[in-house]
Amino acid sequence: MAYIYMPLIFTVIGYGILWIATAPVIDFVYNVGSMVMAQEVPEFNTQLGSVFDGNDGTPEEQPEFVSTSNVNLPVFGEQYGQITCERIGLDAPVYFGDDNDILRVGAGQYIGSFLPGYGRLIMLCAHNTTFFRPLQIIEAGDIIVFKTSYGVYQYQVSRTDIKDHNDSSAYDLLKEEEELIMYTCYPFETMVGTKTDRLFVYCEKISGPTVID
Amino acid sequence: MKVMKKIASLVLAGAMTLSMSMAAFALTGVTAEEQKILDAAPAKAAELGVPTSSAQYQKYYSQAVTYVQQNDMTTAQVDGALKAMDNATAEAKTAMEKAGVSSLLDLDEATLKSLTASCASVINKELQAVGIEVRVSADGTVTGVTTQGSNKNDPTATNTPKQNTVISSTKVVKQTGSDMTATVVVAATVVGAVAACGVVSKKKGLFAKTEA
Repeated sequence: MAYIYMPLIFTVIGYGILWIATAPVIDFVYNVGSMVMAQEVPEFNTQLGSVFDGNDGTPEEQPEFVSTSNVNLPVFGEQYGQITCERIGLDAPVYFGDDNDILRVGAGQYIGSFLPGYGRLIMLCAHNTTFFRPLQIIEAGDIIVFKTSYGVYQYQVSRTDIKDHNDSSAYDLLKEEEELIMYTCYPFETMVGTKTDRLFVYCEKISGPTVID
Repeated sequence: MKVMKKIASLVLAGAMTLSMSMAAFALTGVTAEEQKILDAAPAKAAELGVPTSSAQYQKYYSQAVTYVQQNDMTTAQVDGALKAMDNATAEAKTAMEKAGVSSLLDLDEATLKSLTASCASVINKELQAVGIEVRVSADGTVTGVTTQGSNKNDPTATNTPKQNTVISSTKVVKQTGSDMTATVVVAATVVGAVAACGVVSKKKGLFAKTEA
């Protein structure tokens, strides 16, 4: 009987240890897995919402200016846009705010940056295992399309850079020129260890309405 | 470091804005009244010995600019924010004088912790008029949350206020990857345990066929 209950005991103990150790990441793994295996649209956290009702417009059809009265500003946790890059397969909803709840369901914008069209820095982040995984093949010259309810914007990748997450020279929050920065953890392949580096992708605005008073 | 960030965020949250002088630069969506807050910030930063070129300064200034661009503030609310800035700065300066330092960033952890508590109370009182509540979470993160529906262009603003985090002491650059170290280690341990079971079982002849 020893060769029956001994392996069983070890199995139970092993699963117990496994559960205790992976409990903090089970949620993450489940959410990541649900992104590719879910058969139904995932339910959003009740704190998340949306002011983005889609935009079928093309970059060529955009006006030069749009009034602030036509801009439905998002609050923290609200989706306000969709960002895509056809060549690399990037397609992510964009939320205002960048906490863990938001990063589970899309790309998050740092609240010290702002929306497209305001002539300021737009700083987006997303997980390198989900929405920003395509960034590993992004190149200078790639076109990013950023759709919002009030306009369709185009940005062109000017350069990429690998920097430490504490390196504040990677971005200029007070820049008086519109720039889109997308960042994610780097490297993409490494699964072990907390990543301290980030891949920063810098994009210049090439089209889209300017928001005016 | 955490406490330093906490106090820096509370003082700067009370000020709402810390910036280089931007009086000549008209930001979209910022009224002349709201601009007063942005214009008053550099002097407060100088009083606290916080360089306007510092990353911490720019982090909170940019959040404040985003806030005033996003929200319409009345004259009373602007006055409330300016008063909060004055009171928070005064609290910090008192602590700095007691500690004998010339910069807020030079205060030790214990002093910063004490200052955080006192500033939170002072700032909350003043910022209530602006509709902002300052919260300090268990991990030390400081956030300013609006509870009034003052968001511009929101047709439901006056009826169903939305909660909006408008300022936060969290890092600018977030963690956007997974660390599977624990998983890998435990998986390896389990595999090793199972292998050990197999070796022990084999040595004890548990897999040996019993002759009839």
